[in-house]
Amino acid sequence: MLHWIYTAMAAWIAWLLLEELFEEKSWRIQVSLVLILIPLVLRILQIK
Amino acid sequence: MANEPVVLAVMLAVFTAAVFVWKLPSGLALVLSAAAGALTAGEGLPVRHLVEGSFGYLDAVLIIATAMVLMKVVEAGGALGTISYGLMKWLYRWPSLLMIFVAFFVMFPGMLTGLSSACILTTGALVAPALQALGIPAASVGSLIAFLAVLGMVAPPINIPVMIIGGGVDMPYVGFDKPLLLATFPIAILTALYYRYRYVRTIVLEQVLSKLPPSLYVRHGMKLFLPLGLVVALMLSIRLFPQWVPDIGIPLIFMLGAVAGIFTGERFRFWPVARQGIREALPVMGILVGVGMFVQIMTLTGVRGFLAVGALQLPPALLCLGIALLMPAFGSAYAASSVLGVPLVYVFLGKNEIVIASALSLIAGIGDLMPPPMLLCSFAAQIVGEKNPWRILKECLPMILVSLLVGIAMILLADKVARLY
Amino acid sequence: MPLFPIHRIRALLLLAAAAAACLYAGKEFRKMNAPDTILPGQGVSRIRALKDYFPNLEGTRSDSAVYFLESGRPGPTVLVLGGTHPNEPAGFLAAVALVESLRVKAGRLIVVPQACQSGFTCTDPLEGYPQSYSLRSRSRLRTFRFGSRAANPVEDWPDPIIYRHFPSGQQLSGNETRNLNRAYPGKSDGTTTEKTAFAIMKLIRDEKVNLAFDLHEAAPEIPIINAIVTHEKGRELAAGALLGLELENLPYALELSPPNFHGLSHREWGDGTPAIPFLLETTNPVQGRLRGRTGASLAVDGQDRQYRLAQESGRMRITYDAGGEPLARRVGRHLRAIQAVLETYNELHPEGRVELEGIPSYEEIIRNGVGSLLQ
Repeated sequence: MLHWIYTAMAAWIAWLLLEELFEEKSWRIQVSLVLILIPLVLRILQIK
Repeated sequence: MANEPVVLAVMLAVFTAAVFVWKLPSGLALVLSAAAGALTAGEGLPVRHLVEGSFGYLDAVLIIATAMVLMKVVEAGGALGTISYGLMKWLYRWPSLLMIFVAFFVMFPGMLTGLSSACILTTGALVAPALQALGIPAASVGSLIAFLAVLGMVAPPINIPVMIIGGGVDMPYVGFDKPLLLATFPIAILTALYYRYRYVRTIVLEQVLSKLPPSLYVRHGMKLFLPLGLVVALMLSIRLFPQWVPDIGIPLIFMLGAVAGIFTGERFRFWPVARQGIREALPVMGILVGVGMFVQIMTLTGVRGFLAVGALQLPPALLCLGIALLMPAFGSAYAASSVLGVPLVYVFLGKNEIVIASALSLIAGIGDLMPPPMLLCSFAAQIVGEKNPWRILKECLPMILVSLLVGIAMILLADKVARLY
Repeated sequence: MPLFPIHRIRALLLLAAAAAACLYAGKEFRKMNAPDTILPGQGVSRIRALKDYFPNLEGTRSDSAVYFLESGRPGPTVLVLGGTHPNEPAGFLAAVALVESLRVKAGRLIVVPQACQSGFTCTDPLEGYPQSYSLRSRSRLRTFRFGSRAANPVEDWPDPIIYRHFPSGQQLSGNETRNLNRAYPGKSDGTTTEKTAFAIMKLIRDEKVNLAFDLHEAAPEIPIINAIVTHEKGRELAAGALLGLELENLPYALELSPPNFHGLSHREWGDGTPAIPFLLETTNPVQGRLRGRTGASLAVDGQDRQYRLAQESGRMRITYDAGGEPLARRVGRHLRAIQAVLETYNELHPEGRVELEGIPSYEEIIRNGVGSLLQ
């Protein structure tokens, strides 16, 4: 149960990061954003 | 295929250039530095290792994200301002007492969770406006809460670096309360008084209050503090009643607090506030992902071992100096505890190992302030609105020096310290 | 404002790059879900699984094969557990060698080569570990997974901050939650790791195991190395084995299981079942904190410059041979130590002996390599 709550929380954070990615104008920050997305997405998909 | 010192030099050079010349965020600079290190070592671009490294601090990423959401919610609801206001009104007559109270208040979440960042993001953020209103410059306020966060992490009852060391040497986490108390509380009081006598003269209440957001206590009553109360109650009850209260983890505790905050103060729109929180957490989340990749490549290429063995090879007279310089240089309390803390317990075999591990955790804890990641300094910079985290680190230096001296003294006098309690 | 301003196009491109990295790394990570090939030898009479002892494990990453090598002649039942920590390859390979090469002439042997099967499906972040290593066996090139010390976090995420051992309440760092050798006696409704521990305890009881071995390795800087750790009730057998090993120039230390350190096999198997437990340790540079460059060759050859330097510095006790600590030596030690304990047991229990056949001598293993033990 806790596992899926955390997965949902990770998905919510990933969604907020995605929203930021498309609003953000600085490329430096955009690169940071996608870097943070990588582990979150792989954990949400239960791959790593 | 270059050897370890060359790889280390390349990694540090790329990091420095990325931060100071190309003006990249620290997180991104760490990623570039890791990639350059791998290339120099002849590993090509090891995508699997880089991605795997990004998982090293994934739980911390969630903590930071949820903590910032909580803080933004508490700020938008009005509780943040009200607490600063109340604290001033309550204790302004006794500046020394005020500062000591603030110090332990900031350390509290770290003592409960073992996480330094929790201090800055919760209680640190709560008191920062009040401290700034007292006339302490932003960078100094940042340094105070960043340093107290280290002490909070090291202070009992929960000290994760000691647990990491204990895990490596098969030493259960029992009997650490007193030595950890000894290692942290005197320094905390000293720190509070240092800042008090350096910056705080007599407090003119009206002047200070005018710089703070207004108190909303009259409008909302105790309900205003419900989100933070819930967070503290959950943290406490998980520690005190583990048999009844399940350990739901810090991120979920923060999230529950944030959700409660929607209903307990001023009205606000949750989604934009949450996004603001995530935006402010971004630099630190980037650093956590970057430092994970950096450490993974350091390990892969042998640089980690090179540093650790280098420290152990120092002649006895220099060993303590080496520990004081090298452990913090890992830039992470957890990494330093694991890589150097564990072997060092064996180096000092024969002395009281509980005191040794406690002292090592204090020295390793300083790493959370240090570059390359400068985690706590970056956090504190965010909280107090200071652009340059290096200034915060600079302000921390006197207290860092004191902590290192205390740590080394505890190592040298471990058996005598053990007799004190 | 245009529908696709430059920063949004850049966002899409960056997202595509991140997706490519995820796809590539994800494919690499998923490779570790493919099971290792273990080729049962003539001595194996049947194969069961941990789920047969605790059905809750069915369909999870933690279910693992249990090999039976039965002589049909009376004698004690011996359990050998490998792969409790999948980043300690000698323990795993010694168990595989038993499955592939051993014949039992009296008594019976039960082997679980991958006790923490879940840990074989991932590697630890920050450690720079290889995902696999290869050896030339008697007939082909064999590749095995190099896993993580603990179970896969995908199953039991998040770790609590503090791990509280059940039932003692002993506190350890949260990441020990997924450490099988801190989880005994386990819990039927606990974490995946606690369930695995529960299944193994049940196996020991159901199969009436008399002697149980848990094969490990430790970092060269850990004092308990080249050691037999045992419960109070195994002291006599271990002491006898030590003497025999000493005579063969294989020095070992005898360590008694600390009575107040809970969750470990040598404590909980001994307290909670009739079996006499033994935990064997060899020295393994690839899991050490001082190691230099990390990779598959370090796992197999065990040659590490940093450990040589650390040992030369004399600042701490390091169990490391200047020529390296190859897998052959570590696996050879495990196999020899198991036999030495069993030989002592046979001397003390002439009425119910266990007799093994097909394991080469330590010298032969060193000479011919670990691969010579595998099909």
